[in-house]
Amino acid sequence: MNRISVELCACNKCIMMGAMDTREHIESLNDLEGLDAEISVTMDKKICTKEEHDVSPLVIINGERIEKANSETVMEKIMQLTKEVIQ
Amino acid sequence: MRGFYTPVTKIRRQVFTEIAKLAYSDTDLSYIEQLPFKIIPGQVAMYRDSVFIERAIVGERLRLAMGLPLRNMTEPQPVANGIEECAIPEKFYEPPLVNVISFACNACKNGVEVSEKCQGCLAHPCTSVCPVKAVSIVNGKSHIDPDKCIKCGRCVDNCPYNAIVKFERPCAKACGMDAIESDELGRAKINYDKCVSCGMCLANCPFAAIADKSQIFQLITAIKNGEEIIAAIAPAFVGQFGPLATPEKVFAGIQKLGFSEVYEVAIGADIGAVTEAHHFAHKVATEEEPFLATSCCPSWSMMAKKLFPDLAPYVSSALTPMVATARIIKKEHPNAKIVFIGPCAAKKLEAQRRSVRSDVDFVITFEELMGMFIAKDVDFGDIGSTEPIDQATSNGRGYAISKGVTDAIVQQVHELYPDMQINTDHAEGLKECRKMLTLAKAGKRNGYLLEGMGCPGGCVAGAGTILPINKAQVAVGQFKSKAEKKSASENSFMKDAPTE
Repeated sequence: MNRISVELCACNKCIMMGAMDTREHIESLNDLEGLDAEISVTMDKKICTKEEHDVSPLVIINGERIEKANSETVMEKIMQLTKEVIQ
Repeated sequence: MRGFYTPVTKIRRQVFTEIAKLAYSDTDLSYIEQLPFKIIPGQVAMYRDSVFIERAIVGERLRLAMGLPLRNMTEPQPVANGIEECAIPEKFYEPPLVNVISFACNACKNGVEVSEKCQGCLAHPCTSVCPVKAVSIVNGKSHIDPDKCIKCGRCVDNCPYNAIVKFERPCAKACGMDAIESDELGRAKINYDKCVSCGMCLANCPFAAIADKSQIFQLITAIKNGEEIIAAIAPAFVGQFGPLATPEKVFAGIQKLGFSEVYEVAIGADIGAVTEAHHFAHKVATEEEPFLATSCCPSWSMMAKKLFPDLAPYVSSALTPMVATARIIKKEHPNAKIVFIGPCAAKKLEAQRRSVRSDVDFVITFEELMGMFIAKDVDFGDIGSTEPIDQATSNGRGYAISKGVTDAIVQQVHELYPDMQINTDHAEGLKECRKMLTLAKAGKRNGYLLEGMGCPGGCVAGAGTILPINKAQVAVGQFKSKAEKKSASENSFMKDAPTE
């Protein structure tokens, strides 16, 4: 089983710009049939700094930063990683 | 449109944040003219045909967020038109609360159409099931006569290829009051005689064409004015502001905004649960009245009174949790201004009632509050240790979730009248609520306690919430379990409970 680590920034700006809905969509990937990966989602601290508030929502997937993230971008990235690891 | 962060959500939240920033700053109010360009930057339209239309729509939303009316778009008017009048430290409200921005409306239609996926099959059950013979086979494909079609959806349900599509105007579909009509150009128009301001149309319009008026600018102005401002926050607040925002930190964050104190509205819910338990015992159990309908959701109680006027006497006259809590606060702090912070638009209208106006000075939603947190740069990650909250009971905190009101009142009936039987029914969403009252009107709910919630899921599903509904229900459940006192009657505020 492959492991994909997803970290979402929990600052107010990221929450306001949709981070909680994005988390919901990421977690829903674990229900996909045939997914050979374990997606761990954490959202327990601020990641972006005050100076970079225009990057909200900020998501980090296996160490890679995705700025102004939305659910479709993040889910696509996760699914790509799933395939890459499988291949 | 709940549970998805869409461009509609984004624009709405940007508007609240920018208006809050404008209110906190000492910038000239004419700066509002620049905000559409800040929210919709560049030269290329992101969401519509033209960037100019996008900015004009944002301009209207900014006006509504200021509490101003929509502009008459047949006359040249700046966004800031009338802004000086609304820049006051008290509520500024001109009806209507919920507004359609006509030129943002897509003029969606209702209908049933056959798509290209029709295979022209031999069986064509679409024709067999149509009760008005509107479906026929033309040139080998299914064809629907729009003049005959009654949009029952039977052909849709029975097509083996899912080739027939029924589409409904989203705002009208979401409206439990049938209050969405059309103007001469086919755009949505609200019939305000029917509307109860539940906010479901604005939460479900995919074109961001419907919005309610806000009071954040005036609230922030009052805070800046140095007035004593006290928050009363609805039980659905738990979890709304993200995982770092524990209930205690939310209270601390609100105080950082300039509020002097924060009260749980669940206190008023506790009072309501006890009052309604007594009412049930004295009136319904004795068969003096046929049933008792709860009163905490203003959309539900307004719907009941508008559509079932003969049943109106059986809608509880107990103070809503908002009003009961506000009166308790006013007793302690007679000069304070009370701000109800909640999940829905309907409370804004409730606070306009003649009997409530003096109790509640402002009403804002969780989304609007979050805009204030961002504007004031209050971040929950920066808030240190906090005192635990111990104001309300598990019963009162449960009001945020559908059936929570019922559970609280039933528990009170069982505690206060141990031998009494109580039947209950509950409905979520105004359409379902109407069905429940239709049964009650027919005498099929005699002896019942009836709970109605305008939003499917309860208050946690209100139009002004941030957290996905399922997560919010879990968060409220956890906060309920943390209450030291479980039963509403144990609430220490009960001795000060206002009676009317």
